[in-house]
Amino acid sequence: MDGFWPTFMRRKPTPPRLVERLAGKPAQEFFNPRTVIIPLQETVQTVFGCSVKARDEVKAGQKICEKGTSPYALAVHASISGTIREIDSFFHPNGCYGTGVLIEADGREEPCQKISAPTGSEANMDTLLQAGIPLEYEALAEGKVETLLVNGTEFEPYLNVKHQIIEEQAAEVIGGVRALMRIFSVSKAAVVVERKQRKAIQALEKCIAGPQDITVVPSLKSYPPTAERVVIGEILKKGNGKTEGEVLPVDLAFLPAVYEAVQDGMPFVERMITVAGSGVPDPRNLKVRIGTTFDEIIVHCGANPEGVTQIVMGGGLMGISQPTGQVPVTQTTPGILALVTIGLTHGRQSRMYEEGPCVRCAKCVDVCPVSIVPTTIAAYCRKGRFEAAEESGLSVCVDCGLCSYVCPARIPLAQILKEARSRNALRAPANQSSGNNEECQTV
Amino acid sequence: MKSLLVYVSKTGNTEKVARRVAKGLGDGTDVVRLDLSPEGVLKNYQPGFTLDAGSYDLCCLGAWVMVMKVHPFMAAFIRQIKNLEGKKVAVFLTGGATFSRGHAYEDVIHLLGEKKADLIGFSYTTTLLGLTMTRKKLDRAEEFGREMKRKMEEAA
Repeated sequence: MDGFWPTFMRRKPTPPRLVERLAGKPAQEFFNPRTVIIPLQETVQTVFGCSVKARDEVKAGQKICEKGTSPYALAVHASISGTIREIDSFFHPNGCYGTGVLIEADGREEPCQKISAPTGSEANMDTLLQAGIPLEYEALAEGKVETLLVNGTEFEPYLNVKHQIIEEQAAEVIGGVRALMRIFSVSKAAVVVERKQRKAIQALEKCIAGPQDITVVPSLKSYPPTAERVVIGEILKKGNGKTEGEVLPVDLAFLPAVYEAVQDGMPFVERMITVAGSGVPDPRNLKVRIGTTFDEIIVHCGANPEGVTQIVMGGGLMGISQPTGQVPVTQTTPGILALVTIGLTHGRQSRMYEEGPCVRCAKCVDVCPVSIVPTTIAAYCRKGRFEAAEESGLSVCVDCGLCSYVCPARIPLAQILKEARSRNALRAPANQSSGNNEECQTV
Repeated sequence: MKSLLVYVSKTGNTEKVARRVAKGLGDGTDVVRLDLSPEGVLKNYQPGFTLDAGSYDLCCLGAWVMVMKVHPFMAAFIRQIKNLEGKKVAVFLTGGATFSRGHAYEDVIHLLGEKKADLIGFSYTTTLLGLTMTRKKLDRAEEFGREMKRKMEEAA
């Protein structure tokens, strides 16, 4: 039927938004998981120093580890109180194995321990490090940053978590931005919100009242969280005149945590995620502890774990499919998709759903937010000509996944590009490995 | 008798037929609409969806005919459903052209033969742009459902 209608009536270049079903429902809480896995490493290269051992008793909010290198070593906290069963290698939702701590809950619901760092008006960078908020401290501490950019647009069709955070915690978001601006002496900040989300914009503007140091920029489009450069180019130049100085993107989900750390000295041990997909009876937003396994969350949402055939970290476009359900929620996990799938590409019957040759329709070129030619780059990557692919702009790709979505020949363009990029990152010399780490954090 | 009714529908004709067949089958029928995206992901939550036919007595499969074959979604479903060996299966198809009936029937025989399932009933409803979906045809679909139920009761 896709070919029956004229071109402008066919499938839209972006997937349909499924967030309307979630709008208006308050977020629920799920704070008593049976076990949590606290990941200590994002990638294999992450340095960490663990201060606990197996069979130790820990309390919620207790500092168990420091990761990264001094002076920007981040604290890692136990998110529930209980006993440490083992410290072992666990699967990280970013797609690699890393050391983690498995904690078994003891059922006591105690308030979170506070961090040992100055709070309130004396708060400094140490407060944020001790609270374990993974910001880009090197760039912030240099003092060159002039504008903080918060991307409040939700790019993923299934997820609604950013809108929910803004609507429910507008004061915390603004408080977090103000705290960051004060600590790192940044003069301006901009929050980009979709124009459709009137409630979110109103809530933010209500909280900003007073000094106009934070701008709320309504945008028509939604931007993927990795495409901050596009946002800076398209939005800030239009909205604020010419931008001078450096612009630093900050993840929206960290801002309430920043506010709580600065105000009350609370560690970053909980965040809001969206649970959606065809395996879940009713999609919802959940506040969960860091480290709760996907399986437990899906079962909590009423899904049948045997019926769910695919679990995805993130949304439908940029998410990473997980091999098992025993994967922890990390500080950068925006949501979980529990999907029921049927393999269509087996056998002669389903040949029309298999990959075909590129038909040169250039739909992927039209939708690409960073204006590269995915099909050419994918062809180079398939031939193993990674230098040529790099010259054609492979490193500019933001992994938004739209090219795969629109491709009528069903070529897995986004997958090929992502693979090639990770391959290039592995091959790159050591001085670029830090860039790779940052990328893992923002994904 | 517990029966599973799975159907694939694009414009709604097969859905109409499936509803009448389910009415004919009576209570204890789990109706599942196999609404897949081109990637093979179920679009909406279906409470009765299962890939295991073990707990059902009768599997009723409905699909529309595309290029004289069973729709790929249903074909993929038949290939992947477990415990279909020796199970009683009834198939109802809808299609625009009458003459594709024979081809589609052969395709059904081929697909179910691979699974060693027992085909106990087959019906084909001709539909063209939705206008020819008459009350008579729907009544016949309900009659088909009732017949399948009778056959199952006789076998029991």
